[in-house]
Amino acid sequence: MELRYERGKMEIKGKVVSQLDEFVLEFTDILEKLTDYVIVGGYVAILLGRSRGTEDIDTIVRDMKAEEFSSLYRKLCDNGYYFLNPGGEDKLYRMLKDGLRIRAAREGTVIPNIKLKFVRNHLDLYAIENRVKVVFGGRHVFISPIELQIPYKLYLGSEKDVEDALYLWEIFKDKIDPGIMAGFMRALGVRGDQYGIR
Amino acid sequence: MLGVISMGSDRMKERLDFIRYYAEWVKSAPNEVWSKQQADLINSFMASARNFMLSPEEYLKMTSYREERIRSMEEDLRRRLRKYDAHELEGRGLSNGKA
Repeated sequence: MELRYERGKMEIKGKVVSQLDEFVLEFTDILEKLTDYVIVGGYVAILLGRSRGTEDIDTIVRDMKAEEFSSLYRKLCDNGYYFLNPGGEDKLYRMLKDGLRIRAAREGTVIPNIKLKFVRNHLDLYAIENRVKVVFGGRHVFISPIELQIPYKLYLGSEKDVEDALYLWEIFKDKIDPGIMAGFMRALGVRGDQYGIR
Repeated sequence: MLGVISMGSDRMKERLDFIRYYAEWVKSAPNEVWSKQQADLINSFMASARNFMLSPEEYLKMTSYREERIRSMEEDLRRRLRKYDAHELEGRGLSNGKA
């Protein structure tokens, strides 16, 4: 992997864009015109080379006013998306304000889908304020900082999450800030020693 | 402690060994090569997804357990981070702004 990585930006030249990448790029192209977002979760590892599929793309957006969400809702519907959750835009907005996730997909499909949630805690806020722009194929998406992504995956703790954490560690262990990652490890109460993540 | 799964099983050890091996290969391969192989695999998943049989309602029902688990972990996290706000997160720039 030839990867240019400096604080806040990565570039993956020559990456072949998958249909999943295309799905994410098309959605986030709409999203970023209306709000800041950051992708967290499994797609981060996939974007950076892990060979697995995913049903959903976990995405955090800044808290929005009702009228801002209304604009997003209408823009998405106008561009061929729908929300899997029942109810109109008012109910969806209320779900987001209550800390729930809502899912959007292309009309006529269920997976893949984008899971959206509002910023709920300091780590969400850190992820969005320190997001990393990943450029490939002349386009870009924003992902969570790797120093946070690895501890958070360990915190979630399923086999799939631990595998993602280990994969990211193996790819980025020489590139990330160990002090920042150690701080998140402590804050989340996780350790990676037994997987070789230090 | 949350976030630790058993390493006792041979299966899990094999999985993690494979992840290490695969990551080494990705690091050594040109972007065009690893990403082409990955795209072929993912595109086949996407083709299968087009034949997904569940309705949105059924899918949401199927995923509700996982959602509930994540939500419960997030509540735990909010409590955990509250404890850290004063001494741990402040100096690291993690508590700037409102969450």
